[in-house]
Amino acid sequence: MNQSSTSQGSVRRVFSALWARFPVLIVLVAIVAVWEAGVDIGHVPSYLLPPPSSIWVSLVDHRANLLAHMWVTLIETLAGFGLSIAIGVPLAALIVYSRVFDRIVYPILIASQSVPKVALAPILLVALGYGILPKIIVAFLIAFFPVVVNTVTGLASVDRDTLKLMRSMGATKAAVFSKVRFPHAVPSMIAGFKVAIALAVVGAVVGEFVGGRAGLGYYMMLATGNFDAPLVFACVVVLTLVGIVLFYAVGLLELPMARWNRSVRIARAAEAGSAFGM
Amino acid sequence: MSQTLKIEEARPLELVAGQRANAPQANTAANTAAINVDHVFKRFGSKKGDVQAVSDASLTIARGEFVSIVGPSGCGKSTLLNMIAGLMPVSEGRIEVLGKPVKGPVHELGVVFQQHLLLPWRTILNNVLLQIEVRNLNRAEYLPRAQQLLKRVGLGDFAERFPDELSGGMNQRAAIVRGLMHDPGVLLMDEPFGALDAMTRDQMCLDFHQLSREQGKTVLFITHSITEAVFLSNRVVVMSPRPGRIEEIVPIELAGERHVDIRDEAEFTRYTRHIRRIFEKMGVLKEERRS
Repeated sequence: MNQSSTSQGSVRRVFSALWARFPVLIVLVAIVAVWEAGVDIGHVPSYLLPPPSSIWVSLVDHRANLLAHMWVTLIETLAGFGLSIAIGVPLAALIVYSRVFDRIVYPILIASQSVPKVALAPILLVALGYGILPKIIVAFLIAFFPVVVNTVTGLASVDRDTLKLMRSMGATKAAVFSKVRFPHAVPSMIAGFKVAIALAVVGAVVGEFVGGRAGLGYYMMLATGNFDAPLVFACVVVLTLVGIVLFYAVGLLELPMARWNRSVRIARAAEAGSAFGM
Repeated sequence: MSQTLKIEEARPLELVAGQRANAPQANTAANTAAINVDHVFKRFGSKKGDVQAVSDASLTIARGEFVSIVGPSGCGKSTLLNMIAGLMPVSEGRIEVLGKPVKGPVHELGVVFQQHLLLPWRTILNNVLLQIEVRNLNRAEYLPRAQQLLKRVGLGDFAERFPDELSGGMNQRAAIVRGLMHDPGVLLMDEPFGALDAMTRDQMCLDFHQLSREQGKTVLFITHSITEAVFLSNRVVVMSPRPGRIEEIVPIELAGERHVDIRDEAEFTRYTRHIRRIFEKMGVLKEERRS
């Protein structure tokens, strides 16, 4: 009796320690448990909402296929994201430095945001076929905007007095860019990259939905056609994991800049806290 | 009225500047002045019409001289400094720095602003060396000078720290070191202690007095503190509110090296009172006297 009460106490201690360190994890476990129990008790048909256990089984059974399709989606996502940086960052610099780009290209770019890029996927399909290219382009189109906007904001938000100081030192435009504007823009750029990578996954998957022969989006469509709900959910799980890993991988870019101004560091500390909670 | 007055004011003062025995480098001063401002006007265009920021300012600063400009906010004193630094074009008139007419940013200067403007991602040492990097000078060559100057202003142990880890006063010291790194002949300072608290400000003022004497630079110092101006300067330029005129130039004939206590001495207070009176006459300082 005495012993059981102490073991109960230690369980509670372990739980409260876990709760303090990983609150998100505990909530997730709770949701999965409620889901499993709810499906079981409520006799929800598996094709509507499969229980987590059967999703797990599906994950394990189809791991080879899931992995193969994941690679395709991953490559499309990274290519689209890379393209959005390769084009977005130089374009942002042009917008900041050139009046023409600032007055003409930037407004058009912002206006173009109201075009649902996902709706462009079928058009791209017609133009570019069923290969990997239209998916990369959808991923790029959707990821490109946050890259440009955040880079422009970062490059343009340099303090005017700092620019005055640089001019008084006789700094060239190149020196102002490399020593002030660019480093100043990095935190803002990385924030844009994080949004962009998450959107690039969406773009790639949508591209696969519309017409593909590989990738998790395609595999999901296939599973839906077969009424294999657990496999559809398994695809969603893999996609989610891909998204999370990519998001934090991009977040790692911040580490080399570990010494930044205070506000950025505090923001990062808060983020790190929530990351541990994951 | 002010026109004739100013010309009369300016002439004897130039003489005074040349005569100063206690000015550092006074004997090495070449025949060209460090700064020569000749009938300079500055107008800013706006929809409601032009705003006259500086009108007919003339001022000659000899090499090695420490000159302060005092005036109320918006009197055009910062505008004048910006024009001397070549960061802003003049509307009319002519400015020469170290014998050369100003046509664009003058690179032979050191400039210190009210904000320290240190880059938050650089250490104090690297911030100070920015001056050298931007000028394409040899970083390694100037490293000892950076360390020595930082040590001189009490930041020897903070060279590897980042600006956000230091107090406002410390950052401003670093900004002054940055302004001195390339050993400029002239230092322009735009309310450099304006953002600091009163105690820090007093300390900075004392320390900077010492430093500027050691370095023997020509300094143009902008402030709205009369005490600060009198304490630091060989001459104090008093500016009126818009349309930004030089009202009077007051030579400060105190000892070259000044100590804290001087601020309580009759000689010192006579100068501060004199300058305050000028402001009162202009209606900048008002005192209600009750009978």
